[in-house]
Amino acid sequence: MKYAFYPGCLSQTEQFGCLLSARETLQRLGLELVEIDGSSCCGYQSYRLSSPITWNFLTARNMVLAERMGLDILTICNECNLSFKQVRKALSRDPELKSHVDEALSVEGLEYHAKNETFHVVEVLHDNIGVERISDFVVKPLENLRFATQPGCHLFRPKALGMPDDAEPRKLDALVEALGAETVDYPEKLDCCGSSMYASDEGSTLELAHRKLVSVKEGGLDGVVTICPHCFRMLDASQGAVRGSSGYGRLRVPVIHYTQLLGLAMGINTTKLGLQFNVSPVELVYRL
Amino acid sequence: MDSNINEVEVRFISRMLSRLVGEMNATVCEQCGKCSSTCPVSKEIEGFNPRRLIAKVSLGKINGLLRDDAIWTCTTCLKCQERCPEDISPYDVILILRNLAYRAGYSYPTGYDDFIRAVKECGFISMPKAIRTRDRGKVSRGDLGLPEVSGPTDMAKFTVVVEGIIEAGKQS
Repeated sequence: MKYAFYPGCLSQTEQFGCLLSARETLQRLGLELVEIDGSSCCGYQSYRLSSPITWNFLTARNMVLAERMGLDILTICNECNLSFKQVRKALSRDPELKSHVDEALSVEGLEYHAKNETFHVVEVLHDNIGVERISDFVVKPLENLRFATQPGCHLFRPKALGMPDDAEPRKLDALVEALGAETVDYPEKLDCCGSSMYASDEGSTLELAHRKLVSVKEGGLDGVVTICPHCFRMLDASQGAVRGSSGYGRLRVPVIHYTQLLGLAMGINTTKLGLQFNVSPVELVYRL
Repeated sequence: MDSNINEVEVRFISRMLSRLVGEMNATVCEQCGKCSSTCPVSKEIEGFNPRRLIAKVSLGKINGLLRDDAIWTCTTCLKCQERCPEDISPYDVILILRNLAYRAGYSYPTGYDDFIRAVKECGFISMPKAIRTRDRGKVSRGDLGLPEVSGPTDMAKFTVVVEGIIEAGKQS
């Protein structure tokens, strides 16, 4: 299976743990990942506010660049995945919008045809490769570990756009269980991590993250596994800034990205998985 | 109003809003409050209430909302849309209100300007950073054996498209 690889801004520019571990594990699972020359931000976090047409143009442009390579897109970002789905729908039902986008694309000699598909990494791992084949790759089963999963809102909402998972998401859980670990539901599993509100209200954002992390700690779980780079940054890197109303002080909850966990189970060196970048005490997980 | 407002863009935003309001009128919000009770932000911020927001938009009372900081506190988690028995989407309404507030020159979180500027400069929401490891060393993409981020091949042309053709956003 060969894909045009679209990591998204966050993994490309700062969350190198997500990027390294995704590249390392997906290629060992037999996927061929091809960089998209000339790609850019999908616009969801940037131009969606100031200019919805530019946002549509940016997302469409990335799809077109992959289409020109004759490839479907594989993204590891929940937000980019949502952007691809929203823009595809908008362009299919709004000819006026499509003509604005095509006019902009034509400057670089491009045109939008919607011939290729876009996939989130969960769809590729769970639906295409499958949990059974993934468990065949496990050389170090993650036994005696119990995790909370954080699928991230845009892995399963909005339903109408045909997102990678259902309203009661289980695919990330199944992928974690394929590695020998156990997953445990917690009340805040389907709640937002708060990431998107960070620019406007840092305090409330941290309170949302805090509530989730406290729940995981009180549940006596070994950590949080997430597949979304935005949730990952929020729960891992911002954990030190989280000082909620619980009176716990520093929470010290290990937070690990799914492809990092997958890599550990596949016996891959921690440096190749970017575990040196996790800010949370992730060594509690891999030293067990 | 800002003098650089692009008419095409405003027409597009207005069309999205009227489409949404049309959908809302067809179904009619019953003000059941499921959106507000499921909203994670409403739990944290007293002034944030998607049910009341929809009521105001239905009555055409948009101007006050555009000046209200509340529209910027939505996390875009989409729970409100998921729970609405009438398929109304406070999420989509809030995003359009943000577009209008931005266009009208009202205040918005300045962090967005950094993202927009960076996309114009390098194609991404920031330049690739050197990241601190657990043992305090700083590491770049190159150190990790990662390929350079390609970005738009012809950055000048890309910027012309983003700025010139669509004339998006305000001049910074």
